Amino acid sequence: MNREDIRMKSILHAAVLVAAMFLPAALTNWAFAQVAPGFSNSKIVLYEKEKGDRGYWRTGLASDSKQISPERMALRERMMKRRVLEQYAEFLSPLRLPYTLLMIASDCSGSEWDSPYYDPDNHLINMCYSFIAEAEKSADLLVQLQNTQKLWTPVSRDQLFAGLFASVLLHETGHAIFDLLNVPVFGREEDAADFMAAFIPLQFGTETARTVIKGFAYYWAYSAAQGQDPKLGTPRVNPNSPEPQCRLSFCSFSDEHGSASQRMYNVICLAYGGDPVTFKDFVDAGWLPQQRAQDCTREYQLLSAAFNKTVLPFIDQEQMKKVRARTWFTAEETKEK
Amino acid sequence: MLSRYTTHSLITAAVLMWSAASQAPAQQSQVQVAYDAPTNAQLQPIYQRLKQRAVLEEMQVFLTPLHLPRPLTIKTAQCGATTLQQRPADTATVCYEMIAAIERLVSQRTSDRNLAQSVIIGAFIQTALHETSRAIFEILDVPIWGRERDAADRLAALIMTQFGEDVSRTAITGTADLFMWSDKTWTGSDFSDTGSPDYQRFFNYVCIAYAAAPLQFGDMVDRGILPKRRAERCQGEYDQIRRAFDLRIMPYVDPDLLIKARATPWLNWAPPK
Repeated sequence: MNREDIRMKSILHAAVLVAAMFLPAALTNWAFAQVAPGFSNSKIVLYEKEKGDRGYWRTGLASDSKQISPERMALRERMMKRRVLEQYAEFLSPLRLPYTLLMIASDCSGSEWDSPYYDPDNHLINMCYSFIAEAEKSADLLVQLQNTQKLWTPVSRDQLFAGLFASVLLHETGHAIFDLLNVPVFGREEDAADFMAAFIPLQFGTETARTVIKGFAYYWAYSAAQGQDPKLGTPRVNPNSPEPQCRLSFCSFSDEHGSASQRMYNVICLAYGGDPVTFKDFVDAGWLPQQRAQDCTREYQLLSAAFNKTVLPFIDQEQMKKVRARTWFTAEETKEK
Repeated sequence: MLSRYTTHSLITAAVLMWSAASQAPAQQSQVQVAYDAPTNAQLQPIYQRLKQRAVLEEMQVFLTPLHLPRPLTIKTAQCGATTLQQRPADTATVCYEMIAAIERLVSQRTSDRNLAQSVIIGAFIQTALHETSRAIFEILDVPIWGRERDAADRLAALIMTQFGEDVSRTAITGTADLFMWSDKTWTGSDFSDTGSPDYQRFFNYVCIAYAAAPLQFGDMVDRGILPKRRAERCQGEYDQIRRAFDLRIMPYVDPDLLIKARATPWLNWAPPK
């Protein structure tokens, strides 16, 4: 358990570590890797490092990074088989982007705690293998906990994994959209990216919405249960670090992300506000206090209005119809228990 | 603590006077102001003090450059709580109860009258600008990505930093001290609130201030007030709220009147009585 706790905690903040790295080559060998006919978008590109890798790199980002381990190679194969990159590019195909968005899966910095991120310098979304490995483990752990402790509403292992992974990817896509479309972000961008991760699946029917929201909510509920919300007196900085220390008793409140609980409550509230019938069981089961629940319709409307004003004009409606008509998760991935 | 580090002049400065008789003509403003008389006798002194100092009239003049499609009302009122649960349309309300709560908290935390006065004034400016920002969002139908009350804080912080270091020092320092002195402990379902904990709000304000005025607030990392990890992101946070302002609110700001507003000395420090 302890090992898992540490890993879960580390995933939260690992995203930025690799963002500053340079891409290894000039961005010339762009590739569309077998995107389904009718779902291509010339501005969304799977970026190959080696010819034929379809954007699933066999290495990390650094030019001298070694080939990934056999274990990671197997994970990479699973992703390729599931066509994660291709399907995500297809899913985003209605977006009319003014600048090209690159997508890859890679070993990122090579750390076991890398998390998917958007790199605004290169307009790149990078899905780190290490995160996917951790998401698989997290899903196993959370389902195990659920089976023994019945903490939350029922969930299947595949639903949890798919939802968690999709929510993280949608969150990073939020950052990409804010950047590429020059969206005015008045609130905190990390919350705004969570809002995007909640809003998009809510436009794709009950099953998709429940899978993504559940994956997100379980993950952050568990983080909160592990004591990851900020507390007074918690030292934030490693005492051995040469960096200046934070001397305030409330330093752990300084993160630009919301706390684990806040993120969970925000997303459940938006889901409930957008679709009270589908997410009623969350409120009934006490995931969201009544006092917050009563204002969720307004919160969702505010978000919907922001989306309609700032993002909707960049969506090709004809293409959107095609995307909405497709099923994006497998039957296993939407299975509730 | 923050005050000690950043605003030595607070020690020497005393009562903040609001320069209500500013140069810009208030009648051009689309902002209406009102002091509602409280029925609770204990709130009477606050009501009288605010009225005497004409704080809302100064806000009114301050907001003259803003050309809104319909009027915005800023008022002080007895709310029955520190904030209103149901906000009336197009209206920013500063509750007497909030000011009373601020005064109570400050009196518990410091016996330095000058410091107390500065924090109270800074906290008032924060409260008024926060509520005004929410009303501006509403009137201009501004798209809000992220939590609305954080957005109002970020806009309020941006405004505070646009009118020179005296305004910035008073407003940001007062705000930061107040949030630092917060006595609320946040646990469990407290985090379900639509508003952020005062300690998070502290860093949101301080971060914008740090990016806007590195000379004035630049020592906050060395002093252990702003963790380096957050400090590295402050410029980005500042640029983002600035860009959002330029895109969505600046089109409603008269550039000539803005110059006048910025050239106006807003906060005048008077010697202690």
